Amino acid sequence: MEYYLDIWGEMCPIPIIKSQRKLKVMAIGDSLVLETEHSCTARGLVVWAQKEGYPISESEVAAGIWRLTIAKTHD
Amino acid sequence: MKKIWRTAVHGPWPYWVGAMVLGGLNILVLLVRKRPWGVTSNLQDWAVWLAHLLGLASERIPVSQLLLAEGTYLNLGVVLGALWAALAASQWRFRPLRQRKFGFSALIGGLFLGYGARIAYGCNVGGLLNGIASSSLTGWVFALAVFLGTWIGAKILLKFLV
Repeated sequence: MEYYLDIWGEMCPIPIIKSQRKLKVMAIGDSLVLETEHSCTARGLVVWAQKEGYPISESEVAAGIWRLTIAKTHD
Repeated sequence: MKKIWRTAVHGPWPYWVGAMVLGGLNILVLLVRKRPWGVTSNLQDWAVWLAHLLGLASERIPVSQLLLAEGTYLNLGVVLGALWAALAASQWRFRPLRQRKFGFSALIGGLFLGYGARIAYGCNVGGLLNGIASSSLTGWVFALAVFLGTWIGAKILLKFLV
């Protein structure tokens, strides 16, 4: 299943804490989609997901807007 | 080569690259200015000027002195440089406030930051970074306070802002 989390206008570490909580209630194999207009939020999430071992894809969908997809591969 | 250029303009820069550029520029400021880089002393001078203009302070700093101060241009450089970098990467956009509580937290945080920086005789640049860089005890005391403050700040953030 695909989940979406609203983190518009939020600065780190709030989006990371929200993602942690969301990932906990998701099943293995689910993915989480996030969109942000803050470069540092996008960066923080990528660094955090890589550290936790979750595959993450990042794309700048419009000038200054990033779309991130995190796959929950493990608990 | 094209990829390196794209990353340089568009980002994101790896943290270590940013750290080295910042370190190099910091040394340059010290060499040229003969004084370490700082931010808030100059902001305080501008605040005194504004307060005097509004009749809130008897102390007076003439605007000509402020316009000749290196600090004014260092601070302008930070703001204009950030603007230029965002424009060059075409990432500049209006980012409206999504929630009122973030506005309040920003205002309260800004007041504490400004007041704290001045009673500590420096912010994280002049007090912490250049304090430690010049082997001053102040820098280490500042670092200890930063850890303590961040810990308390994290508690407040989890309780009110998440």
